[in-house]
Amino acid sequence: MNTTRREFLRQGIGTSSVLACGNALPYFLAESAAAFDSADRPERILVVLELDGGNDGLNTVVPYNDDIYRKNRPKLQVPASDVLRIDDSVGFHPNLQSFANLLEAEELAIVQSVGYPNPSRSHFRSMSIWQTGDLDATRSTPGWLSHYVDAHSKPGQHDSVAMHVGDANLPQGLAGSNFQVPTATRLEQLTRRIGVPDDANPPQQLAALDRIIGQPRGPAAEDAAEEAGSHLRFLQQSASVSFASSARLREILLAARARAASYPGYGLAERLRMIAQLIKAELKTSIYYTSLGGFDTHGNQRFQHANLLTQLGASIRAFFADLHEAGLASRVLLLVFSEFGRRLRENAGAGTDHGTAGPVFLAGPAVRAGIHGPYPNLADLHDGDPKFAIDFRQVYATLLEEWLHFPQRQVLTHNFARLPILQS
Amino acid sequence: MSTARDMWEPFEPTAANPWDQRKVAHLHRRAGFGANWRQLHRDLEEGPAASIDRLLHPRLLTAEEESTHEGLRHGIESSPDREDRLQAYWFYRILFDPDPLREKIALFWHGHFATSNVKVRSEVLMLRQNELLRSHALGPFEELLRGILADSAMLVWLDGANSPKERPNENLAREFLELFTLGVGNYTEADIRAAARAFTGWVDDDRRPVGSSKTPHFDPSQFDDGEKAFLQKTGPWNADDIVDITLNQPAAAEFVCRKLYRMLVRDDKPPADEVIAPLAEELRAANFSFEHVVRIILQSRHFYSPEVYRKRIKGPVELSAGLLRELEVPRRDVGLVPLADACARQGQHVFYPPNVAGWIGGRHWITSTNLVERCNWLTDVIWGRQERKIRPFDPLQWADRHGIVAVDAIDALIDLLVQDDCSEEARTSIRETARQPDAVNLRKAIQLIVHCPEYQLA
Repeated sequence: MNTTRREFLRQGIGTSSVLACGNALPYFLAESAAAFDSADRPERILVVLELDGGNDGLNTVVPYNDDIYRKNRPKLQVPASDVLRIDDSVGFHPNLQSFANLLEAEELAIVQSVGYPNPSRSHFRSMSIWQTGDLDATRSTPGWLSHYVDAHSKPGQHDSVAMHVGDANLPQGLAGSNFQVPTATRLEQLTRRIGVPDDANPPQQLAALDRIIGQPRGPAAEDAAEEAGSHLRFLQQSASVSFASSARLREILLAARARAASYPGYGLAERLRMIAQLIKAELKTSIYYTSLGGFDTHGNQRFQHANLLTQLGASIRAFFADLHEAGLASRVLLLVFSEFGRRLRENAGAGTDHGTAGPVFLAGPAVRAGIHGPYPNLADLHDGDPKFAIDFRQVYATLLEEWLHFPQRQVLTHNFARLPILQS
Repeated sequence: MSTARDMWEPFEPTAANPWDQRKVAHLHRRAGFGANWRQLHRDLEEGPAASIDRLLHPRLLTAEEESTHEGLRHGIESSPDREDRLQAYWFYRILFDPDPLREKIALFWHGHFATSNVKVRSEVLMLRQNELLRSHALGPFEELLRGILADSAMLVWLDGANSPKERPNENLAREFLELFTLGVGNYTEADIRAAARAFTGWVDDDRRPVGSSKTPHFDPSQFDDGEKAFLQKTGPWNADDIVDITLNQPAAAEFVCRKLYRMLVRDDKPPADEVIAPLAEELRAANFSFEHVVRIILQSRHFYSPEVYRKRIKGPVELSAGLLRELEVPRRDVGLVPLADACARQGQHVFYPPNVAGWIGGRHWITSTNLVERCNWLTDVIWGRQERKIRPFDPLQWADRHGIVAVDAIDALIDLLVQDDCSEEARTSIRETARQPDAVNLRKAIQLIVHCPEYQLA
């Protein structure tokens, strides 16, 4: 990215946040006045599922007929008799029956050999790259989805354009926007305690607390270096968003709790269930982001990876079943990616170290189902790993323009050729 | 360059820029977990040099304190609720040690070497690492690094003991260079492989029964003593050599100083190279003694300038333990386990950092759920919370202990908790709430003080 563009982004964030905070009324105070327009329910929702640690693509979409694969993985290879065949070259790991089912139902697209030039094997560097679409990204570069959030958000609106569902830090993919993206997790975390005993007027204290935390600063503080405002303003605005959004989410989740939907007992399943509930509640949110960790399998990979794939498959299956039942599946597209694949050659600890290219999955009725992109060429390696064939930014370009209807040039450094992975 | 050097010169109080309450509180927030009333006034009177000196050279532990620590540590080895006791031990030290700077820096190293018990699965090994970080907190760095490369928890965490001579595991070597010492761009993949070879020799103890915690030991026959080319130096390097060669790289001092700067000075924007260069020089000249560089920072003009004041967002431990220290909440009123729990819910589960890079800090501490949790904890401390056996704070008793009459209590508490930094409207609202200074109104007023956004900033 050239410096001018980077500077523009940095300055843009600084000045906009000042303007945004000028209107930072605590949202809940405006709640009664605002009308909720259900016609605004988003037609297209993107759910991003990040697999943290570097998913071993070669054992996920297995080149079961390839001798080079077998030779390099005496312990870790998936036997040909175990794979769930997709075609004559590749098949799923046996624990991904649900992916096989989705594929059969024409709701799964597999994009093979996805990566980028000069791959980094550092988790953080590579994850930053994937999360920003910028090969020169640092931890503070704004996320690829933040531009969309900025363009579609307005101060005072109720529902955030994007939402993070999970316990970890806000992913970089959503960070860097002027509008703080809320995080929704367990119900208790969404409940504010006031503490004041019932006979000492809690509502009055609540109002006073909200005023003080969102209070515009006096003239003395405004002067104390314009920058002094930045953390303060960020906190003020965050508080308003946080409290309003927490209250609303809590309402939704409480209301939806009664309905039974059958999800397996995994953390990921619980998060996807929450996302489904929020989609069903007609929030105007159009981007949801969650993650599944544990893929950094440097040692004793077999069971851990198999386990994770089971969780992955079963959770996604339940998610789409839920959405189909509610008649909402066609509005939802799920993207599954990881920051890199793993090395072709297994290590001595029956694990694999950081690799490079790997498969990306897209799920939902809107996909053009099947295999896209070339099979990994294990005879033509770069530093021991398969070379990438499809730049991940092509996947982003496609999703931005064809799903989110957002110009890729507002996110990426130049135009990337789109892929035929979605139905027109 | 002279401007950059000036900023690190010691701060000298003048009539125009005196040593005041703000600066004292600022020092204690950064170099510890906040000052209580007595400390605030004592250090205001004694001036910067004495105050900083006391932080760097606190009194020794009494025999009773040593014995309490021993008791807490022993509980970690033998009880069924080891995990709770591990957390309780550290929070006990954070709250009650005369040495808050050491605990603060140990917490920093815990984030830097980010080892999580989720994989180590041994409270005893995590405790050992914690003691290593504590004893070596202020340097020299070489000893800390050597210690961490031989630390059992670290070896389990980064597969250092799953790394035989014939096929070394790269995990520890990679993170050593990327996260602990130099940062991306200052070494090559070949250097990682060389370091991985130099780190071999550690093996899991097979004699332990299956399922119990591993304690790696060093087996010289498993060490690859061949020639390795590391950072353009060739030799039969071992782990100690790798540490030496790495610290000789100019990038090492800069990398570590940047992290120290972020932790002690400001986390809203990264410092210019010219700001870090003099610190890095000092660190090298002092043989990587952090005590030396921390002193320079804490006594500098830059540290006390308006530019860096309130420019850090308090992490959950700072915020949650900080209020308890500032208000001198008695131990019987707030348990250590609820405190540890609250920090975990706010996003900082000690002994369980989210990944090898630790906690990012700064604005990352603020998500909508974290902010709700942060405010909930502050509310719990003030009003009590029966289900977690937290007793309400007694503001009248606090005032009494410090010889403050009830009508003056709220102004004293504003000074203690936020100094002059809340807005006029806030101050008016707070004072108005405490107009009739009974316990309930004072609690409401304190709750308002800690809900000022300034209170979330260090």
